[in-house]
Amino acid sequence: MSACTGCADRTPPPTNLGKATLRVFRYRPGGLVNGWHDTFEVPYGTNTSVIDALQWIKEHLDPTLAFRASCRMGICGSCGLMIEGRPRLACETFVRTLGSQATIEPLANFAVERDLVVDKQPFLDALRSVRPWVVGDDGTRAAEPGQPAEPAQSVEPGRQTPPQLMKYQDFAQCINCLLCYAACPQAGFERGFLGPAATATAMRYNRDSRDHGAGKRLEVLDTDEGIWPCTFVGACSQVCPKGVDPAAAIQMAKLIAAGRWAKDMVSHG
Amino acid sequence: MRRRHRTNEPARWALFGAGGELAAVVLPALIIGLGITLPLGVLSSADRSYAGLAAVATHPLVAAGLCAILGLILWHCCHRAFHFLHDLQLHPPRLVMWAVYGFAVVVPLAAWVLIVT
Repeated sequence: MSACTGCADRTPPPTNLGKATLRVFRYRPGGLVNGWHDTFEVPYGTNTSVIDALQWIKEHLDPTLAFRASCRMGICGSCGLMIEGRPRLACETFVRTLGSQATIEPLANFAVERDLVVDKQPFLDALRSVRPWVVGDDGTRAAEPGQPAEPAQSVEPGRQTPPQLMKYQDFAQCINCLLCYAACPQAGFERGFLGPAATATAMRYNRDSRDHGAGKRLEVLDTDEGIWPCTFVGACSQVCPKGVDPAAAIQMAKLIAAGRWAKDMVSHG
Repeated sequence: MRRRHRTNEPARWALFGAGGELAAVVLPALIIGLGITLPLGVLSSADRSYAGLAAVATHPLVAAGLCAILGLILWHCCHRAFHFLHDLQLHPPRLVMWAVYGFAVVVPLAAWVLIVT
């Protein structure tokens, strides 16, 4: 049974456009080589995304190919890859938009675990360090997934006006796809750099009217490994698939840190 | 929790930002005004305007203001140059940092001393 009979009238059937050649990075941990590229011929049509192509390779040519994918609609942030040298979401990149031979590689600036899969743990550590949750006025956290809400936060719902929501809504669009880290030259130089997405998330909560954790977050942001390695190249904002503008978030955090520094100078002499 | 280090970068960055604002807003006006229109005699006679401006600019307080403005712009340049070393993956010793930022402090001070003496 068709889910939507009307859609069939509006959506043209995918057209077979021939075959594309994909050069796909391969890596095996503990192997004798640091990685290599395998070349695959993939049939594609108007609707074939890079994820579709990788899945086709896995099903028809090489079942050992490893890559991350989940939602296929630019929401989950799993399928970030270097496609033709640029960080892009594989689900939003169509094979027809690439050249006759396209190179697919894992995200830059991350350690590779296997083939196209990178180690996200350094980012997850950075994200956790900025307290990515609404901190209550007594320093407690509101409910996190899988954990019960602490009483102080669970009594009253945190109501907001539309302007209060607008203050952080852009930064809340981050899907943690890590394209910004792959684009950031400083993320490559400084392994401990907090980075664009974690800072954007910190600012998302700092700008939330219900949150009281800005002071604690500043202790993480205003450090040599926090916001200061950023030299405002702006590549993070250019590649962001959700229009988050993490470069702006970092500049906002710098301004707050500079203000705090000036305040400390006045109050402590 | 990752170990992190406090930094004095906010102060350096704030001065960098101030210098950038001045470079973007004040410097073009100074160049157009003092570097182009007055020497070409657009607004008044070039000779007369030079004498008048020189008298104003060499007043110790005005000179201090001008040196502060140009000093902040120089700080902006030095800060960017120092961070450019980082972009090149050069990691110079702390002495280089002191030299770069010290240059941005000493030059406008020396200029002010030269003007008023």
